[in-house]
Amino acid sequence: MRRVGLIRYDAIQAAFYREKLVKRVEADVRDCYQCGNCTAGCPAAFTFDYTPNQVMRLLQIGSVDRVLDSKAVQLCVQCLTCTARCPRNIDIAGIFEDLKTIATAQERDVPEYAKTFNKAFMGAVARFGRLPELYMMGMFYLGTMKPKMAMADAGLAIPMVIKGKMQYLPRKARGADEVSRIYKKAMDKAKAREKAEAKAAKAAAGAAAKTATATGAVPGATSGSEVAA
Amino acid sequence: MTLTYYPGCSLRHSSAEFDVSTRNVLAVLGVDFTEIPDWTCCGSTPAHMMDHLLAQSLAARNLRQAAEVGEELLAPCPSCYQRQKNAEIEIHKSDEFRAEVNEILDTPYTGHVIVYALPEYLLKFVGEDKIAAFVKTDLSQLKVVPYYGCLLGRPSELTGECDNEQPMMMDLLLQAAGADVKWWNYKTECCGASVGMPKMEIQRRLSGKILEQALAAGADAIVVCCPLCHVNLDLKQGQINSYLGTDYEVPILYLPQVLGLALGLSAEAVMLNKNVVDPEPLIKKAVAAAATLRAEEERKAAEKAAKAAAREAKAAAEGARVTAGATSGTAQAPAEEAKP
Repeated sequence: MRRVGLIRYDAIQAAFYREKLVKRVEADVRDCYQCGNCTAGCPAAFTFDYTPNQVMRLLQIGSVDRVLDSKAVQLCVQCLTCTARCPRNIDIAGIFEDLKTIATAQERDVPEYAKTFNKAFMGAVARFGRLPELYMMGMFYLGTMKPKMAMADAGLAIPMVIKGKMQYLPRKARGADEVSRIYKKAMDKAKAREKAEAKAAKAAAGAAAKTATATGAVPGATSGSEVAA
Repeated sequence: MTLTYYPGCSLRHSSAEFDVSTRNVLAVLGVDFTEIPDWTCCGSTPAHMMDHLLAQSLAARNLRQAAEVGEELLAPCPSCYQRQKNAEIEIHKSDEFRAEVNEILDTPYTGHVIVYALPEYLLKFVGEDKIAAFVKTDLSQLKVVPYYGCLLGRPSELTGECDNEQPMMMDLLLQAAGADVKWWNYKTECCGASVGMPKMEIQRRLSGKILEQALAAGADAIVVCCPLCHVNLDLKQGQINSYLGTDYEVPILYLPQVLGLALGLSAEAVMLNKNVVDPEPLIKKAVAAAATLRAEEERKAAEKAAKAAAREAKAAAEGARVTAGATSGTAQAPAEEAKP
């Protein structure tokens, strides 16, 4: 868990992402009143840089880049405990899921090999239609460039082979071509959407800055706010 | 209505025992099903972590394939179940979203396929009574805890479970099969799921806690219904032990394996040999213990019956003597009365 110092309240970003999340997952970050139930129940929070309730607060104050690049969003295991226990009925896991997809569509360099894992998985599925487990693991460890990580799991191969659970050669399933088309179409659409939104947001911010300088206010930051963990 | 069966990628290789035992249990219970023609991967966790539309489209492709054969889809793997159930709900609710998905698919999905998980399907369409009536092997000495994990119980509005924190479907099925189901508090704790690959600490700690709690609850084995939970608890149990410095050796059984054993299937028919932590000694011990217990009970009952019979015979004999004595007693009574 990281101590968070002085953070600027970014009203434009806060409003933009709030609306986006309301539209996409029907969850309003403004509903959060920081009870901390999500963090208390989260099984993976001990590896996070920001706890789930801190992520909610960062979203409320519009510190979106910090959230999108965080370990927390990538290490969420999607067990839905936070969603089930939220007294304000916020779909917190849904928000985390959506933030992951936004980070993917914006092609951010996210921490903890999450991108490597997802790419290895979906790449293997798009190529063969059904998941070839050994091939996927191979591609993942190649992607991480960390032989030490691969060695830690290499021991698992022995029981897998003894028990006859290993599929050595991946075979292409019928329908694999459609899966690979689905993968390409959906990802292209998501990337195009994020680019268009970023462009529109930039234009809007520019327009806002123009009117703001005309009236003499500071653009983007309406007030300063301190968040301490 | 035909039931379509979606095995999913894990059940084809790394969890073959889940697939085979599920098919055999369904056969014993008289449930007909057809495998979905040309199914592909549901996208699992990575797809919905990358893009929502991608995840829903991959699942919708399988729904479309299923619609060719029937209107019901059984997905034993909870991850496949959740992906397909999510797609089912969102697509059937909104025609606008269906159009968006159909734009991504090669040929459009126009059907209305309903998705079921294995425990849900068994409870709804087979029922506890029928399962209890089919039980052939006594598993009353097999102490187990059902482990639901994240995806079978949560969110309860989607899965049809009675509660987010205390799901009951596996409990009910195991009780119907005659197993000794222990109560514990870790039914829905997360095992670490697929984050175990990029970040192994999460998986080691969470799965280790589940093993510890199962033993604390007095169970000898954990019953799961998810291939990923099984990998994390069974295949990786050695890794957990070396990371945490423990020496757990807890057999992890699939729900259909236990049901199959109770329904009289052999260890081969439910593929007990595929489990990494060998469950066979435990099963044999439990079945033998149940047999000796039953023999003991029978012996006691027989003894009791013999005793009761002896007592009855004695009582009858005594009764005969008493009546005989009574007849002579009436004759003697006036004489005794006269004595003092």
